[in-house]
Amino acid sequence: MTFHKPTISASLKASSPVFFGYISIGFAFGFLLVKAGFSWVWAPVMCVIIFAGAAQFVSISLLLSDKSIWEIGLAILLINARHMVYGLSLLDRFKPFKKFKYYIIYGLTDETYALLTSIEPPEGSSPEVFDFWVTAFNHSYWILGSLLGALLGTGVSFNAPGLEFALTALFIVLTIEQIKSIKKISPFLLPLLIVFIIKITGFQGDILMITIMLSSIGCFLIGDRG
Amino acid sequence: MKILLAVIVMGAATLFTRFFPFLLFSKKEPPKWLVSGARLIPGAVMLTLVITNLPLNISNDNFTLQWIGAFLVIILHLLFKHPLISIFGGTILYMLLLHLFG
Repeated sequence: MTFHKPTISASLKASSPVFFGYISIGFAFGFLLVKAGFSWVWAPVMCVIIFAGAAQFVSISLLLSDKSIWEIGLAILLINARHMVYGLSLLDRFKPFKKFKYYIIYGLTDETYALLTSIEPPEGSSPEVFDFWVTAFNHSYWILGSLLGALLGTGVSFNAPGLEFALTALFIVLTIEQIKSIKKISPFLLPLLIVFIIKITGFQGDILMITIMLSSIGCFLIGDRG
Repeated sequence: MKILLAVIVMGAATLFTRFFPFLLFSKKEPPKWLVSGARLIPGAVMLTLVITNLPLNISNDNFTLQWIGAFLVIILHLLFKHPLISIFGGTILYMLLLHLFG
């Protein structure tokens, strides 16, 4: 049943919109990672182990900083906090799943989540096998893209000043998408206010970590009232 | 090997967030504050990343160019609504600005 051809081809088709996105964003990740001074090997390794878009881009700057491993872990935890609610809408769908269940949950990225919650497996297919292949195809696009980017980044010796701006651009785009989907102003006012206070008081410390921590606490306190 | 350890910790952190609802709430309902908080946090985190990535002191290198670049990304994203156009288009425009005026 795992290699049931109609199921595989249906999942390949279902995953195709993610193909270009993951290949190009993965490519950018691999390229930036290598240009930040890391070996190309880390690009596919990170894509296999971590498999999280925004978090992996943040990890480049975290790895370059002098932050401890625990601070890095905490930052990634909060960046991925949205996944803590994604699963809730899939509890029923995954309940009967057996051998692929853990892999599918492991690979539940924003894009995989969007596909699995909007596309039904075709008639005569096992939902578990279908979801497994969608996840596996997405995962492989991500790994492949990063590998291509890392190898090209290693091969070309040119320096591209300003390329690191791609990270800022990515975070801006993700913020706009969050504004659109959350439709609330408070989670965005919080960090602005906190950074502003840190700046005017001249507080010396890790602005990124402090702001993320305080804003997260604020988000839990605000909850539905925001 | 700090990087290997860091990658494993980051993988574990990601894994934790993805397994969290399946481990805790397969039988009982999650508390409301958790659900709504977890929905709001990513927005706050993303904006924090934007602010901390952009130069905040006018004396920083390429202060003006980076902020112009940021606005170009916003404009591209509002116009075309396509993440790849906004990210790569904005980056190319910024690199061009840097080449011309940097």
